[in-house]
Amino acid sequence: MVDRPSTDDPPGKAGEKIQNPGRKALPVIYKKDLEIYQDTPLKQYDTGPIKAYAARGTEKFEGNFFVLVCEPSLIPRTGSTSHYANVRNSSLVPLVDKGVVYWPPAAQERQIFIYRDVLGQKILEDGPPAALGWRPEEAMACFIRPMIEILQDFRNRDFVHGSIRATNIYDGGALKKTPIMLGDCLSLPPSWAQPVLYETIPRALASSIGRGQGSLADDIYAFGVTLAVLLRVNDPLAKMSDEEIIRCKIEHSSYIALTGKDRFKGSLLELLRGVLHDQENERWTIDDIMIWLDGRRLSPKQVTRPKKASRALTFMGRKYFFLPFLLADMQAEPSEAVKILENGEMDQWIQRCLENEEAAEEVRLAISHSMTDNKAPGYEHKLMARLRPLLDENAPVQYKNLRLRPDGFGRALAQDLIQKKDPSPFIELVRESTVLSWISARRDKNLDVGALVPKFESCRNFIRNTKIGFGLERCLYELCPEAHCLSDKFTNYLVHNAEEMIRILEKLCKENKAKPLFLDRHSVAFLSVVDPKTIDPFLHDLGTPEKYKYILGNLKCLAAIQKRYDMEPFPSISKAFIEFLAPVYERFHDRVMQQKVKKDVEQFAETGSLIKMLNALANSEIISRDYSSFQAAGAEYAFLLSEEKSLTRELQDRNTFARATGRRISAGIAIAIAIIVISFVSFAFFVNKAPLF
Amino acid sequence: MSNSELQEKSASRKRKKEKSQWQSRAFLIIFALMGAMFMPTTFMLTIGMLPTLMVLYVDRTRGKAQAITVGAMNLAGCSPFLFHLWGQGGGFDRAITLISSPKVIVAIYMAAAIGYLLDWAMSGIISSLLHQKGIMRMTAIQKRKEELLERWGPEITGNIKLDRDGFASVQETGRDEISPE
Repeated sequence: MVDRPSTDDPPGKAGEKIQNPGRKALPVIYKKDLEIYQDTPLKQYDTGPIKAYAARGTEKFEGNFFVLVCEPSLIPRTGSTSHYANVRNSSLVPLVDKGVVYWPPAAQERQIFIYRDVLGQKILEDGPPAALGWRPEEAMACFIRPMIEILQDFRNRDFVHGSIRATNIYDGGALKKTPIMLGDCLSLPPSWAQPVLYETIPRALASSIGRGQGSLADDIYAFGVTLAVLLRVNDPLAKMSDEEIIRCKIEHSSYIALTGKDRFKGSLLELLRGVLHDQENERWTIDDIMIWLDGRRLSPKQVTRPKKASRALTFMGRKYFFLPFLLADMQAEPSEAVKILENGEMDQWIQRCLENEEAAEEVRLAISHSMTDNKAPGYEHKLMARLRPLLDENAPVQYKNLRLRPDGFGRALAQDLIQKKDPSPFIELVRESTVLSWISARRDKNLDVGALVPKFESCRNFIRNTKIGFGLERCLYELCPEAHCLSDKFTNYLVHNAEEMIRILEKLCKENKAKPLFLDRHSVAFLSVVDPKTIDPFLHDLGTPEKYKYILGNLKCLAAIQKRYDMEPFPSISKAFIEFLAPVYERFHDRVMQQKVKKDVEQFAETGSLIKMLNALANSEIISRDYSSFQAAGAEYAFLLSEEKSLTRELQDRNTFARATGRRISAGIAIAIAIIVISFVSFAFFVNKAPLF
Repeated sequence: MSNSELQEKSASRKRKKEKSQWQSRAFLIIFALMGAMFMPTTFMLTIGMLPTLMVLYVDRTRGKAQAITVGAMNLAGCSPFLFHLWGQGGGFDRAITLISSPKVIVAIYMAAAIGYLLDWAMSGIISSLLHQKGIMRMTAIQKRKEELLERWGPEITGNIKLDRDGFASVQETGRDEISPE
């Protein structure tokens, strides 16, 4: 539900009614029942750029709340809200509502999430060292048991948290250790705020925006990392960069990397080894954890570490023994990488020193396939993007500066488009089917190939189609359904559906911004995904260069929204349309009809009915009648022309004009006279029986 | 048209001409026979209808309307004298007497002259009337054309290339190349 201020009732005005004289800034009013205090930040609930503010209910909402105000470039998980709300667990911060408000400090609309203020303080502040040294009994009572219950609920409700970490766990306001409270996970893209420490190796290799939704197995891993942080006394990764942490995890396994020199007792050791297993299919499931909790002992399998080469390969002056590290650095320097790939050094090293014949063959095949376009721009990037997933099962889709997992593609694209960055790497990724190649190279059974492949195949078709309603914009909304409409005309607004769009257009038109009336590429693509019935029948009209069709297409679309949702009148949109309708009136042949239709449309515009305006302009019966009358008029004009031509020719010589007709008439008269005379003479002759003279 | 069709057409035309010549010959024979049988009447009509024969020769108009006018009036002029001739037995002598009478010949030729006068006067009057009517029709046509143009635009003139909906095509006007945004 959008709590959007009207132009008659500006954001601050509502606040004036219930303003608090002790505060500097007016509170922002949400649904008339909640005051959000923009001058009372709650820093303990902040997550990166997402800021928390105190809020207080007035009537409907009782108690104290905190509100997380989202950033437009970081698409929040609005689609997961209902799943989250269905998880009833006392260790999870209760979500009260989500919505959109006008946020005065930013002078634009913002997505907000309202939670009950029951979290208390963080158990660990951001930054190293990440080691709390809890006793195992404390950890079991305050963290492990509540978290297992939460994870069970997540599984039952098909929900993935994605933000389980020590810095998002709160003490619930208690002075002594009590069961923990788990903080927000909805206000940011999935796992955006997760440090690489809490992410599995494949997800850590992706950029924070491109990690995608993840799975329960990822939450279980994050639970394991959090447990390790709570239990351990030392932080072996404290002074390491993100890249070093990932390399450490790859080289030594996550368990070793995280626990370092700390030693845990038998049962906890098993749990940690089970949930921190780097192979997802070997990682403990929630059922395994429950079995462990019941006291039965499970022995986690050993982690398969990457094979170390018998001899190092030198690349850019550095020696490499492990293939994943080499590949990561090769992708950072693709032009240098191509040299060792094309001269055969790489595949020989893989074959001889790693003794991996299959991988060496993959390299040779990838190079031979790429040789056809080796002069094309970006060849080295494309080659590396194609090659790396074949050799490194943990690698994300990596191309130029992008490091993504397929389900994180949409949000990453949205962020770049909002920040006005060059989207060409995304276009090339989709066009070259790099994501599809990545998916086909996966041997990961947990990957939802059935959902991803059709999506990216559709996107490849959308990219090829440059018409309005398709292109990169369509890919964005297909791959990120939670994204708001990114049209420039809605820069200060958050549009999530067709109804909101038309209401904002009404507002913009009321402010005399008539130009935004017309749907642009983003608006059309957005509607085509969120509400195809209101726009797909008119896509052809919207994409045509013919002005009248384009204008009428816009009107048809907006009228369809008004009709479909039985919406209120939109007088400002209607009046704004009037200015642009001249080319549409011109589509009536009859000038009299044009004036009549214009008059009717202007009357309907006063009432704000786009549906009636459209009916007046696109009435098929009137159009058909106009066309047949036009044809009849054309025939009459042609007949008049022909008559005029012959008449002009005849009138040229006045002396001869119609003389033949005159002669024929006089012949008739003469014949009549002759008949009369002869009849009279014959009558006289036969009556008298004597000569006439 | 193919060669055989042309040949067939030419043959048909030839047949018609031959038939027409045969008919006129038959008519001449019958006319000559009748003339011989009713010699006095024939003689009188030949002399009396001389103006008609002259006009028939001179009149090049289609339908020979002038000759018909003069001929009808000429025949009307001849009719009292023909009846007079038939009333007195219809002898050849009487026919010569009648036709040689100046009064008779003047009366007959005057009738023919009235026919000529009728033709001249009527064709002039009718021509003048119809000319005026033509001018009025031209004005009406111009006015109607302007009305049609005003209501339906130049598209109805047929001078503009139209699309299937009857509007000037894009190439003609260039108006639709403009984008609204």
